Amino acid sequence: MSRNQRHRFDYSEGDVVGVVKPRLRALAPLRSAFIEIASFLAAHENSLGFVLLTDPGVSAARLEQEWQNIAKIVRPEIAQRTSLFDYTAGAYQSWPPDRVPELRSHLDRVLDGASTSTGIKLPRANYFTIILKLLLEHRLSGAPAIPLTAKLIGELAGCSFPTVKSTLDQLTHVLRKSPGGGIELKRFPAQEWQALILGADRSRATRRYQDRSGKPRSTAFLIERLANLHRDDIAIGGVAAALDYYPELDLVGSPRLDLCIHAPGQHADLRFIEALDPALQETKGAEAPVSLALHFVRSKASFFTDFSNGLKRAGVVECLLDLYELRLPDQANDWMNELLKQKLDR
Amino acid sequence: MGDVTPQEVLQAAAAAIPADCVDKIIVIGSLAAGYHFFGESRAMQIRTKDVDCVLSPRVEAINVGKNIAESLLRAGWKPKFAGGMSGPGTAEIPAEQLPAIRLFPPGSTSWYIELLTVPETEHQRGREWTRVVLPMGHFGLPTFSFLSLTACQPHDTPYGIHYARPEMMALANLLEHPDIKPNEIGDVFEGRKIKRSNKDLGRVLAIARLSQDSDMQVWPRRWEEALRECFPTQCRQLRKAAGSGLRALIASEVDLEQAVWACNNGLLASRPVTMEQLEFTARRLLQDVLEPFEARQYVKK
Repeated sequence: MSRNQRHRFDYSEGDVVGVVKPRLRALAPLRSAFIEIASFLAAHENSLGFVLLTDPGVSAARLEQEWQNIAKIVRPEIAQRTSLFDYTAGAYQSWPPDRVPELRSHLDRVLDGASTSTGIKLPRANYFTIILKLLLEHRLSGAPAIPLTAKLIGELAGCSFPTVKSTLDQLTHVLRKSPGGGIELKRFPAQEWQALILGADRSRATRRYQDRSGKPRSTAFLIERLANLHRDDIAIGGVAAALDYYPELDLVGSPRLDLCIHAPGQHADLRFIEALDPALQETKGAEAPVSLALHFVRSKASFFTDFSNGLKRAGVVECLLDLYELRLPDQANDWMNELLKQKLDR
Repeated sequence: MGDVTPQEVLQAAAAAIPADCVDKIIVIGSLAAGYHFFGESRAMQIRTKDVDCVLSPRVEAINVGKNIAESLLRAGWKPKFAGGMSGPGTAEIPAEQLPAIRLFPPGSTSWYIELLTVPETEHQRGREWTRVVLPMGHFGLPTFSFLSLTACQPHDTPYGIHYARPEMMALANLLEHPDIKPNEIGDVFEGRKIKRSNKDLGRVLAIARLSQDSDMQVWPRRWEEALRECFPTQCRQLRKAAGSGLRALIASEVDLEQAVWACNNGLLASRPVTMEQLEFTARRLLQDVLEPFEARQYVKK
């Protein structure tokens, strides 16, 4: 691994690198960030480095003092190329005090979520897929007997009425009016379901993470760590959630944790991955053993329900798609059949 | 030097030491860590040659050290002299220039016992020596700033001898190296010279790597208790700087490579690591243990 690769910055654009620390409460991580930046700048004499704090829980006076301390311990030519920014209530403050104009465009880009290693800009949402999943979720999860009107579908999916109408028009062969005046699936849309499975990777913008420490952490450990983050926009999926829904499932566990993150907008903040385990690194390799798979739920409604320990559980459809992706079609079909049977039994 | 089983060496050392002294010895270093993590597993042999024995409490250290050394010498153990020394010192030689008490067991040079003690006060910095006069001459009993931590709540063994908690050895090494010092290990280490800081901080990472995540969750609290006990007036400042050496280590490719070398020729000989793997071990330790410890965030949990 080269020296450059070993530095892990949240932002890197041209000759500018940055570390972002949201809601900083202690100074030690700040020092750590500056050591990392100083080390990089020592080897890259034309580069600039910054640490950006968003809504820090540390006073400006303490930040000023810390900046003075850091400026004393690094070489002057490195201190001149290093900056500290505090972004609170929509305004920047910098140390040294005159650095905002020079780096403003980079800072704005960090806050916009683009071009950072921890935040991603998501592709356009596919509302046909979203609405199909919504109808399936309604059918398979035994959703409350609220009529699923076109208006409600639009609200749950997060799209306009014309988009809903266009999608429903494409699904008329599997739809019918429900007794309450809404819309429901009259039969299981097998063909569309197959297409959904095949396109799940793309429609869910799945990202996969591999353990790079050589000592992978258990899914139980990662779940416990997730519980400590108190994030209700992230839900447990995959085998863990499937077993929670359907304990009779012929599975004992999985070395991979599947998570769903609710991302109805265009951006998602992925900093929680490092908080779960700094050794988790994104992998594109098809054969690489994956410790964590992250799927994006793009609808306005997340369909998350309560899991144990204050955590959330992804919707049934997401969990089924996880099982297919994990190459567990027998178990997925078994569970699916059970769900369909229960629904018909009502 | 061949591979040795930690349990065999610990048992042999304990058996040779006078019964009334065994309880006052705490084994530290790679043997202690090896015994803790590998026990008697032959599949997990480690490469060590020195059995570092800390004598505690300090008030009894000189007498206990004298008893142990005299007893072992009578039983046929042979002194090991290093650093250009070929024999014991004399009354004229300053304590810091005396040879340490290092003794080979009869008929073997594959490992040896070395005696150390805990510091007299919390304010000692660096290495200090105390003179021990044996019938064959003068020797020195060394101590280091943070050795007292290794005597905190040591583990027991079936052989009467104690060994230091791995997390306490880790903390002692972290505090001993708030930065990467340039001085290299006196002896050539497995064929190459490496910085003492890199070897010791590498040991910290090896311990972290061999520990269970669930066990490490209690480290910050144990470390706090030990610091309060051993360094009551410096607890806060020591805590705040605990991770700085490790941060410096992973920021330097040269130093991290030396730490990897030390690990793979020591505690991790059976489970060697790459630089990337050790770096992520360090990042986990920083995030999960050191940052909460430095910020005392664990207290709120």
